Amino acid sequence: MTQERKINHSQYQKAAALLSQLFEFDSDIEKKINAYIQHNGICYFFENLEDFELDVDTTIKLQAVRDVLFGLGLAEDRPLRGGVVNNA
Amino acid sequence: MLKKYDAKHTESFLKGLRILTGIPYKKLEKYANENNLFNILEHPNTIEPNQRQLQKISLLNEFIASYRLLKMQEEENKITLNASTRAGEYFCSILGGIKDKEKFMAAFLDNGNNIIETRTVSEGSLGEAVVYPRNILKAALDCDCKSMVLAHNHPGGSLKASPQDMDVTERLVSIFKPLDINVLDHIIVAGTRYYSMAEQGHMPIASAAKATYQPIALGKEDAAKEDAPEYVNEAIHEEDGEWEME
Repeated sequence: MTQERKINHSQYQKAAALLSQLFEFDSDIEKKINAYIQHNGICYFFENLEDFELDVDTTIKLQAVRDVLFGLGLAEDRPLRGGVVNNA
Repeated sequence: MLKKYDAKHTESFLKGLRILTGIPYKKLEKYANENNLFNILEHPNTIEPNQRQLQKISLLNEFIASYRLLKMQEEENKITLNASTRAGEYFCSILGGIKDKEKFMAAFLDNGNNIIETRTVSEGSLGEAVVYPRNILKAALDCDCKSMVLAHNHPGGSLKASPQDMDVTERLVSIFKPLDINVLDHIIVAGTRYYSMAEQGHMPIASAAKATYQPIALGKEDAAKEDAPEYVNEAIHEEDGEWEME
């Protein structure tokens, strides 16, 4: 009989691995995402994607996941998401 | 399933799905206008995706299940299983991805239905697992739980409870009832979907004759019958499906 932990960090690894499979990320990006969500939590990570040091292509792909999560009511909206900031 | 089902959420969902899968936005939009939008995730074949798109949707479903579990953990730093839907989502997150074996688990709960711990109590082959009531009893007493939720997966995808599934539930309810430990629900997980005995009103009532400790072999899931016996669950609120707390 094995015991599952209440907060299981392998769940974070699993989430990062699934994102990696979904977008065919290389192992460095997967490790980076895994570290970010382990340290910050997955909710904070998706709500503040633009604050993390990820390349533009990766951020855009993850924004698409956030869009789906938002559509499902699982993530908070962000005021500037996908919009254009007009500095004029 | 949705908390907010409005144009903003729909557009966000469709936009994300287009980027993730490559399915044209107009095709998704047309489908959404005529059908329940979320059928796309639950029944992706309805939009006739190609193999690659289907694979992407499957991965996305797995990720969403994983995200739900982590979100629950992060929001409360403890998981409360106070309703069938909560328990269903929780166990889907854990068991939904297991397709090569049958796994039987128990979440042991305190007075507030917070999880004290969740244990894997049995692992079997593709269509069968043996459950040892004595081991579950020992684990329940070790953590001093007040109630529990049982769960196992059907790797073959059937969402029907087999006669053996009903039997194991009745035996465990009967074993724990005299100890004032309620078995609140038995969740059966098939992929990203689940069946809840409590939700369906199929939880058995305790019977002294059934309180025996012999190992129980869960049968092949395809042995499930269409007509499950009608049981009454005395621990379920009729209106909202929430479980009573001690």
